[in-house]
Amino acid sequence: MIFSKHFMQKKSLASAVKVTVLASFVALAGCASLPPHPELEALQTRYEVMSGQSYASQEAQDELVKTRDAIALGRDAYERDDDDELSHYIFVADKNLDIAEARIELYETRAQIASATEVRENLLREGRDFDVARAEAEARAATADARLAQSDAARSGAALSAQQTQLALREAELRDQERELDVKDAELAAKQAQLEAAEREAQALADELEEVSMVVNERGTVLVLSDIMFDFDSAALKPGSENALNKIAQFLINQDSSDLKVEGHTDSLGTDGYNLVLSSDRAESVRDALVARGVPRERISIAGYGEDYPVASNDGEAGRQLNRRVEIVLNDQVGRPVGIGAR
Amino acid sequence: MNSEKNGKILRSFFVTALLLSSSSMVLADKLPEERFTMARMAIEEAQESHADKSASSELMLAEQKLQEAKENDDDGREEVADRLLHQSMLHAELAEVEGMQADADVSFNELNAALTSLEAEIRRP
Repeated sequence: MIFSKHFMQKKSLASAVKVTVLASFVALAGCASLPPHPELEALQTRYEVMSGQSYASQEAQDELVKTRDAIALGRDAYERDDDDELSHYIFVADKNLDIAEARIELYETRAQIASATEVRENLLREGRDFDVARAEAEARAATADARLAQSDAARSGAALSAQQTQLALREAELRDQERELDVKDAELAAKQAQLEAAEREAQALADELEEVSMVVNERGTVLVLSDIMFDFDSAALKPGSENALNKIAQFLINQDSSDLKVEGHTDSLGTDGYNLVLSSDRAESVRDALVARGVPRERISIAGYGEDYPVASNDGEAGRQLNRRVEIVLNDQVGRPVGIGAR
Repeated sequence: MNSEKNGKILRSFFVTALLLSSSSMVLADKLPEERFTMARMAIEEAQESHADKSASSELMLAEQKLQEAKENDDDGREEVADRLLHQSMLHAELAEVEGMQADADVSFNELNAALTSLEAEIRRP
């Protein structure tokens, strides 16, 4: 608070006089004293509390000093019973304390503003850092995506290439298989034609020769030589079979691409063992006769089956005569004889 | 005796005249104008700190007591004027601080609002 020098000088002088007078009065009055003034005491307490605050001495130093002086002058006025002056200094002390409180509050608010400003700056920095970090993360993600896409493309390309290669190989295989099939078809057709030709020739042979008949079954083309070519109960060929054997041999020589199987069969008369031996011996006799007439031996295999594969009933002579036979199988497709009584 | 009496009368006259003179001088003594100027400046400073909005009662009391001080000063009541002037300046000073406090409160609230929105913006996914 601004005090007037002019007035203060006068007041100082007056105060000095007053103090002197007061001191004299007190000295005369001995120990007599006034009771504490309630408002002054309240101001004193308020002043002391505020003075104890750590930063009050800095922020409201002037006001506290003025309060302290005003309280002192108020006490002085009270002791002199000067009500006007007492009221004035009570007002001055009270107002200075109000101003001190307001300054402290302002100080606190400004401190809060400073703190909030720092927080805002930190947040802005954090936000900038966050933005930078987010931008970096997005850039990294974009790079990773690009790499992934590149890798996917490469992988897809490689997979496609592999699939294409595999497909090309498969197509080549198919083409090879088709070619093989074509070849086989051609071979089969040729074979079929050959077989058909053989069948025709065999049929012609059978038609020509009384001793020979021909059947075509699942085994292929079969020439059946009747037992009239053999002596009874013997494996020796009759001399009268020469013509037939010559024509059969010539026919087989003409079928040079086919393997031959000569199989001997008997009727059911006699023992199995005997019939097996007889059938084998007759098959061997036919093979030897064919070989003697120019059919390569390596083309001919022989077997004796005895009575196991009849083609007719053994109950009558007619059936038994049919069962006594030697078969020459061309291009055997089954590998074993067929017959009505096959066992 | 007469001359002595006259001398006493003359001294009394001079003393009286001196007393009257000094008394009239005291009564005629007014507060310096600069004190009023300083009080007005204190009020203007308070007004500049927007005290007219946030501390209008203190500002009004400051102006009122300044006026009363002037009137009392003009009427020769120097001591009363001095006290009123003193009180006017205290009102003005308090009004100024309260004006600054109001401004600080506004700034603080605005800052807090900005902080709240900033935090929300930063924590937005």
